[in-house]
Amino acid sequence: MYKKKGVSTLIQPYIYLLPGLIIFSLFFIIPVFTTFIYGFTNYDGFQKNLNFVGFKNYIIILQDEVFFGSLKNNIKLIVLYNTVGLFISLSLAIILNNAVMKNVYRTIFFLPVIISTVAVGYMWTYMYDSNSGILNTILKSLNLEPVSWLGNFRIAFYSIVAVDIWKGQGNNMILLLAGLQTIPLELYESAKIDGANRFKELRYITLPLLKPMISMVTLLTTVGCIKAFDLVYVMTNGGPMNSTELIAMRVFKDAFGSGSTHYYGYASAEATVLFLITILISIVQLKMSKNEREE
Amino acid sequence: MMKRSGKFNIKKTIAYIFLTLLSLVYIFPVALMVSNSFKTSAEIRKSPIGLPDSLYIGNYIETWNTGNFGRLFINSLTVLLLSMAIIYIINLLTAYPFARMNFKGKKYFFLLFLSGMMFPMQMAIIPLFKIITSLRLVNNPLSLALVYAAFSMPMGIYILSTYLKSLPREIEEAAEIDGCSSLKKLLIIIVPLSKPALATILIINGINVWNDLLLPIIVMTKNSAKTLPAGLMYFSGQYQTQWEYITAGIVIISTPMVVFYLFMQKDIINGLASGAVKS
Repeated sequence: MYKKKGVSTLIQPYIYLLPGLIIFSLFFIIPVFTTFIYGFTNYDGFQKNLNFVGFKNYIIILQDEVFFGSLKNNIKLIVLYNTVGLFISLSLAIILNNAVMKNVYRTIFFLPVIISTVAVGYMWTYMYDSNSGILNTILKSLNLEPVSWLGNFRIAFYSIVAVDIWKGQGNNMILLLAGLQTIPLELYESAKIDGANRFKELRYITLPLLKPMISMVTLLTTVGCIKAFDLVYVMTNGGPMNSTELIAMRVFKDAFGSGSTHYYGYASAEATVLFLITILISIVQLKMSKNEREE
Repeated sequence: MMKRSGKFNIKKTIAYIFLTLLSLVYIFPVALMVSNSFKTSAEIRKSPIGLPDSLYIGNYIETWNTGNFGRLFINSLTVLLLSMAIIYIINLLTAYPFARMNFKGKKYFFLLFLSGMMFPMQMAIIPLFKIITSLRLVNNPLSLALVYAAFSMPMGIYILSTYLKSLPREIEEAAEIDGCSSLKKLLIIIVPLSKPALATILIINGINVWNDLLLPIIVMTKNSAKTLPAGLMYFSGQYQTQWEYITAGIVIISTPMVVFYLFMQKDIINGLASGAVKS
């Protein structure tokens, strides 16, 4: 009797873990590791044709201009989101923290986070449309030259980045607001007694104490920018002249797109590069926030 | 003193002008979609920005019928309910032993699940498609639900096991004396007590599942199996630049989320914020 109970409590935790482990292995661990392996093959999607080709796919990636263009766009997206986007979210959070009608503004700025990216994509495709689009209608009524927002290869990418920030910054604003609420009010009171002005409060109290949350937000934003796919897929599908391509788009198109000259093996190598960049950025960011904490 | 408060007010005014202008940038496109979805195509051409003359609902009828939006709603709802059911079962069962039991390899199993946070879905998408095909789950909502469940685990297990550890053990111990099995304890005692953590999991995953595009366009190839975002894309591809229909489509697929958001705002925002603070 005693022994039987011992055995069952010994096995019990594993029984609880089992269903989760099965689903996690089948739909997460195995696919992720298979992608690593596919990256070293010439796999074309049909079982018959699979040979190991070493680093060939990675060598082709190094010479693939479209891939490098998309990598550059991902980096631009990360930089713009973490500067312009972060500036907007941070200013909004700081202003809203003591604003009248705080909840109304928060509702407005957070709304696009909830709406699906596809809906937002078409909404702004309409705003940007060169003939019947709203922005050009406004420009024309002011007697200004219409702009080809999504058709000009110099402008298209920035038009999309603007929408991306418009849609997503509300999430960062919410996180920063939550961070601001953890700063004890006494600090501001004693700073006021010491004669600090608002700018000094910001510089010496708000920003330093908000730093952990800011680096959290940057990490989330950066990982999100690496994964970005939906908006570009809906609005330009990578065009014009590949000027709005992103790595996630390349992976999708090379693996599943019709008329692609590439194959699963190559797309898998691209996906692996995507993953390596994510890891690299996460490590750098973790190191940086660790250093800050030690200082 | 006077001077100082005067200066303060100027800053406040600038802040409110900034807020108001930015609110316009947020409200205008959304309001425009709603307003233009009630116009005929001739009316849109004549006055693309003004309010509609009358509430013409022809666009909605056409869009709903040709876009097959009734079907799309049922599909999306099925995927959402199925996904949340599997996500809850799997995350609760897996988080429970991490919070309440001691076993060999506990630390390594936990790390294994947590390391998943690093992997974007694109990393797995190609083999996932092969696995789903060989399980004959293409066009089956179960395929989406299982993948979403797998990808919900790193964050879900972390949030739930941290939360469960913070719950007092006394009630469970009392139940144990009464002869309650551990599964019963989990269902009857722990689930009702973990509502905040479960709400966070619902919100983070619910929004993702409802709005996801990448996985459905790869796995749900049949038109009758499409979810709302993929369906809107297909519909808009057919009605290129006929904005009276596309705006109606945008309003149709966004309304449930917006209504849900307006009613549950506090929970949604708290859920998202606490999810990030904990991770």
